[in-house]
Amino acid sequence: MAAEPRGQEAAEALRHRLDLGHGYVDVFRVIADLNIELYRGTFEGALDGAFLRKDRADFVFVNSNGSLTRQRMTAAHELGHAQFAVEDGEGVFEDTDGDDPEEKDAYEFARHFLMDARGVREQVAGVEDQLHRVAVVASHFVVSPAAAAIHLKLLGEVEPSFADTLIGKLRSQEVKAGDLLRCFGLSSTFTEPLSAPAMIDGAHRQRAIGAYAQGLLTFVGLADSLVLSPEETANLLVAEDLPVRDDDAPLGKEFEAELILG
Amino acid sequence: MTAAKPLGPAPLDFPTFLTARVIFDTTIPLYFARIGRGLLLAGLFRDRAVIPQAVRNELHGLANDYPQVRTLLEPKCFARIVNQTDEEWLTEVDKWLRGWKGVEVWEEIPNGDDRGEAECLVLCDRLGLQMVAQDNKALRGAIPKQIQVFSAIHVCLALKAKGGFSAEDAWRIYLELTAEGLHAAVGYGVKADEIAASNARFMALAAQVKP
Repeated sequence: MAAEPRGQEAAEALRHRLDLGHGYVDVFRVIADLNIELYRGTFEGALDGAFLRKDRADFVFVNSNGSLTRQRMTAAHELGHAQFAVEDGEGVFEDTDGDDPEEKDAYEFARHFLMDARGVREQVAGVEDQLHRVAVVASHFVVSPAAAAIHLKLLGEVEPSFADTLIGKLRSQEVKAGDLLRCFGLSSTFTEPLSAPAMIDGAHRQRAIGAYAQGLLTFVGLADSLVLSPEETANLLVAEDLPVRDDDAPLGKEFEAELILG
Repeated sequence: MTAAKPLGPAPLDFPTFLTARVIFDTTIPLYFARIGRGLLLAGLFRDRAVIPQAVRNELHGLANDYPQVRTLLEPKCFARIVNQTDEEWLTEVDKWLRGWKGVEVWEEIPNGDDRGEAECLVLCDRLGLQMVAQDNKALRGAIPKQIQVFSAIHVCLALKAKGGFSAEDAWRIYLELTAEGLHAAVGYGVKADEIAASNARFMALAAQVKP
């Protein structure tokens, strides 16, 4: 029997201790609540994150040069290291897929901390379709569909062969995360580019047009959000009685603010 | 039914700009450094300049191409670096990035150069700061939040007000910045057919600014 608690046990114990329930958790807030120093920044190379224990204080570093889902997973992984015995003055730097037991424990901790097993089972109860299960978990727990598929496979909630095939398709981008969620009527703020215009719902379309009208969304951003060509986007704007803006052109006088000198 | 008048940029409170905390996007410090005037910013905004972590990262990266940028960061950064880490913060920043760049920023890929502007806008909104920027995205994004965005022209006016510069020398700095590649501030074009009017406007404002 291992001397250290396993990842799942440690994750569930921490959720219980902090009274986090079984649903979505804000891992960054948890790290702050535990008085762990969190640093976000862009690191050179492929370093995703790091954990350091120094003078009995814990430090977590997360590479901010990635999506929020990735940063969440990295932060949870580093939080996992904090749960296990690390000698003072030691650190863990994540730039490879480690095979050692501590890394495996930290990965297991991260999956279970972000996607509590009981919470996952509650979410997928009554959902028969395996793809739908992956989409539900990714959307609810704000993780990538690949992470959701791995977790569901390891929990025995989807067939291993199904999960492996899906993960391969997600990694090769044959299946887009955003499409996967959207085709089940789900959304996440952290999805990949959409590729099927027919899937875009009316509310999303109106929000995007509204954001463009307010100047929050560029022409390119609008076209990208609605999966339209530049010509289609220009036609849409004409139909909506909105100007077609050149994102990089100098701004007009309407952007000049009144200056109060005294 | 009459359409509501579109919201315009927030009026700029210049006296407060001379005394309160302000946040910098990357562009204006970069160009001040490129013309060898980075230390002017350090002096003018001593102890009240703020930059988000992303701007510090961008400047640090740009120092490889423009060694003068190091004067902004070393031996002491010209501004206090604010590094927010909560998830609400990340989400707000990502919303801006998505708005500007489309959904591709949600992929597991680097966010690119716009993170600085996004973090500035979120920090302004959170902390009630004025912003120094000359970026289309920042200017557009500031309007719905009614964030005050000062440009290089206002920094040059501040040089007249607090930096011991004459109006003529302050204008010359602005011309140096635009000659280096900074695009002109709104209303202060420097093309041949604009520059005389821009200069006249600047001088009229500078005459009202007392040292």
